[in-house]
Amino acid sequence: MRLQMKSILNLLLALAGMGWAQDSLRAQGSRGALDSLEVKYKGAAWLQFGRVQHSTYSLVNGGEPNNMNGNWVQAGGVQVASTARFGGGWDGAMGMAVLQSENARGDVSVANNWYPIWSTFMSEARVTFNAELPASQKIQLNLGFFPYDYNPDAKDLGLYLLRGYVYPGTPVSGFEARGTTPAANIFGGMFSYGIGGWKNDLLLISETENRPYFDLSIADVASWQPVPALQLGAGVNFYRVLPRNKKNDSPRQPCTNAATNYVQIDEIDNEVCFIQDTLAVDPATQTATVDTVYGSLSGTKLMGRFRLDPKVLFGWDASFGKQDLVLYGEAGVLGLKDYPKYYHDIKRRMPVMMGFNLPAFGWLDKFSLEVEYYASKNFADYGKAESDYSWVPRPVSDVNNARDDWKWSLYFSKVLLGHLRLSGQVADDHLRMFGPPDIGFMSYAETLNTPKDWYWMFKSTFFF
Amino acid sequence: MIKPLSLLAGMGLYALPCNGHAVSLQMHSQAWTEAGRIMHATDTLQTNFNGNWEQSMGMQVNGAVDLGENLEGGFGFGMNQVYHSLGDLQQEKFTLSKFIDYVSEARVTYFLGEKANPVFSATLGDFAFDYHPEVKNLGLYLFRGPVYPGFLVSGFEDFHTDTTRAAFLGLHLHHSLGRFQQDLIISSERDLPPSFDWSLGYVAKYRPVDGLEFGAGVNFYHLLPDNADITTPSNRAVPGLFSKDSSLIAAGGPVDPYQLQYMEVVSPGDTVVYTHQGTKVMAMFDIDFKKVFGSSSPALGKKDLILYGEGAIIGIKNQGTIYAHIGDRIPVMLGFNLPAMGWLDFLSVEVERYTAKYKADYSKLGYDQSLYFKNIAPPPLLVKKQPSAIPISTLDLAGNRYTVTPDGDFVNIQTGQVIKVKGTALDPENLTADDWKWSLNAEKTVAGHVRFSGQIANDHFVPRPVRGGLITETSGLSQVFSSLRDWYVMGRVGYFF
Repeated sequence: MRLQMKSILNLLLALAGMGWAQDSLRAQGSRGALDSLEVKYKGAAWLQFGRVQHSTYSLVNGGEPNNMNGNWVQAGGVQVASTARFGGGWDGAMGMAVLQSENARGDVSVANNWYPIWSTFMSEARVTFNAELPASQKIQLNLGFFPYDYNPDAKDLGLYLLRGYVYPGTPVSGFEARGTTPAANIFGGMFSYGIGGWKNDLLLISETENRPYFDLSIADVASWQPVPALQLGAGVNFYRVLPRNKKNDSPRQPCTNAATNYVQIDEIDNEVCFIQDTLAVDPATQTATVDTVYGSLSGTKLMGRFRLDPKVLFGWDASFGKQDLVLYGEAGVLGLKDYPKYYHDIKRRMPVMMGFNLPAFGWLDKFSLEVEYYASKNFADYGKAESDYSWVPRPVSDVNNARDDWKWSLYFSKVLLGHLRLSGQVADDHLRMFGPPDIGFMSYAETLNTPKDWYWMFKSTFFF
Repeated sequence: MIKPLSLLAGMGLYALPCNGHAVSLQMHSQAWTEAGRIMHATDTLQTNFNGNWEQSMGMQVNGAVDLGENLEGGFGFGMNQVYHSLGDLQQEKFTLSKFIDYVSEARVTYFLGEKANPVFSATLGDFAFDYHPEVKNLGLYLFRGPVYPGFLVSGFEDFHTDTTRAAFLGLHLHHSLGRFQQDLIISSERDLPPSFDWSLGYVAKYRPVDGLEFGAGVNFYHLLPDNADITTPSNRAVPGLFSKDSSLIAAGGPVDPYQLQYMEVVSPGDTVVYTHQGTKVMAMFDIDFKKVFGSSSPALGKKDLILYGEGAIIGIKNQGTIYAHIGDRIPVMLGFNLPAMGWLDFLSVEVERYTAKYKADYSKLGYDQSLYFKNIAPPPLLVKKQPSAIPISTLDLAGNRYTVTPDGDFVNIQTGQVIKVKGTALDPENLTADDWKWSLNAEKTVAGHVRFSGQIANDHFVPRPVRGGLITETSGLSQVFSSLRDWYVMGRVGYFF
């Protein structure tokens, strides 16, 4: 009842507070007429295709039909959006899109069963309040569904703070994947404060990407630019700190795997939502002392990053492109808390990536090489989390989990005639693919698991 | 024959712009995100919605085109991202996000006089109409919901209370003369079965003095059936349609009328066929105390201190034993805009009383809120052949999950748990605990275009279905609140222009 009363009070206070905040902030940072309206429309259409050149373990999830070797990957889409400036520091944006994403073909033995998928989605729905305060201070409030990218240099790898689960620690990446594009990725709110080269973003995020849906995370991202050539950043994400239902995120016994029956897929999996840690084995009786360890999908992520532009630092010649020679990097900690057996070593929960924009001399806008090291020895799959709300990794036999520590990506993009953008990528990253119709669901296991695995993608976009 | 005609009509429309003049286009848009929580739901017999989070977002684009001196066209489309209801722990693991696309407007309007306030206008197509704009949640009985059964419709920012989205397909004639105005609407049914029937509605409103308005209306619901054998079921169209009812009656002994589907023998020689046709009448009023008493206090907001109300008869004709008492078909609501002193656009409280005794469950009527592929996961409808005008029975509610004791209580087949149903807020045939509904609504617009709104209520909300498995859905057909202890909270932020 106390929580219920709190909800009511919060709602009323928020509504009433908006009126007060609007009036007092307008007095400090008036931005013109209250009802001036300026609307701009924008749009884009694209086609992308590519091929999985080699995939060592893709058939693990769903059996042989899921064999992605040699699979062609193709999609097309159209997006229309508008931005509106209302005056008084307020603006808004919305967008919708239609995507034709096509099932993977899978193994040649199931190539007879295939169909395309048309899906519509919203690319943005936000309102934003901006105010400039005295002494170069700026504040911004974002509410709704909006894009946020704290590390725009990352083209593929990285962005650990806001992408993916904590337990299991599964980084997310892929060709122009969510988080690296202007499409919205945060449902919730963000309050930003900036002064000079310092900026701080406080985010309240409702989980809409990974199950359990609607848990709330609180994240804070700070960035500092001490000199024009150098930018430093750090952040913390209290992932699912406000679970909608604590029993989901921190399950106790009895918990079941009724949704996926992963136990039936993986015969060695007897840890549905707890870890069975063998403490000792009595050699005489051959009986084991086993500790049952409970944990949670909730956890704390940390992030640190840098961006160094030697062109600015050394005042080099302008024949370089704007992005050329920029060195950037990011490291994350996916979960501060240790659990035995799977999460006992924090170093194995620390992905680190470095990127370098190769000199393209204006021939390309972006031409970057990214490399990542992530020493987790768990199978790179979050299917149990998605389907069974399990924070325990999926043990898979006959897979060498030590062979996917290194990831890499070579990416380029070029805008022609102001409105035509070509981009492409060759990579061995954390690509996950929608299974062929025979499987019929998203494979939460990574497609590329060894240094031999790679794929390429190409995309043509026009935009205005 | 229809296809060539459609082709010709299409070609004619295509040719229109060539013969016309340059048109002016005015765009209107809105986008929003919303979230909330079902704080308490007493009825957990089918699905446990307690604590379920509700979250969605949407956007809409509308255009108004000036087609000539007295002619305007309107078009629009929108998109909602919604989720299955979560249900319990096992069910929510299957929750999917789905997108619902819709046409928000497709009309042409001919008007005489000022466009914003015409003396006469005729609108043809897909259009919006709201005869009682003061209503925020409860009310609007004339055009929302079926007559038999008399289910009321409401919910946070319900589709039918949003005048930016079309809820009617047909013809709307409007006439205004000084303080008097009247509206005639002929519309095709496209929400609820029986579909495509035509209804004829009329609303008149009179404003004797500033600040006071009275209105009344009538809706001849399903007056012109698309197929009369569906609207008023008959054996002629579907042989054996009445056989289940006949068997029940022929078995002798007392017959629970809720177990029937289409017809009832009220007394020897008196057989009633339950029809979907019916007549609604409505009366309404608004009193703006600021204007009536000449208050010009600048502290009061434009919407403050307005008292409004509405009453209706959902079906003036009695039918069988289920609809035998007209007193149980009269919803009445009162609303009052509390003084918000400019801090909010409005802060309103609404209260409603409606004494219908049956459970508001659409599964015998055939309402489909499914988010899934219709061909592989049909909603759990109880009547397979034709929509029934009779509400669900205790046995229907028990389904395969419970057995019913002679006292009318339920026994869970799996657990053996006995659940008291008869005479409680779970009783589908004598539901009196849900007679009162209430709603507290607030709204604040900043910068002329950014809107915050919220609601705390116990209303007629029907949550979306629960995805109980990979290709199955359950629920999504019943109003979730059945007692005074039940309530939910919702909030929305968005912009519009």
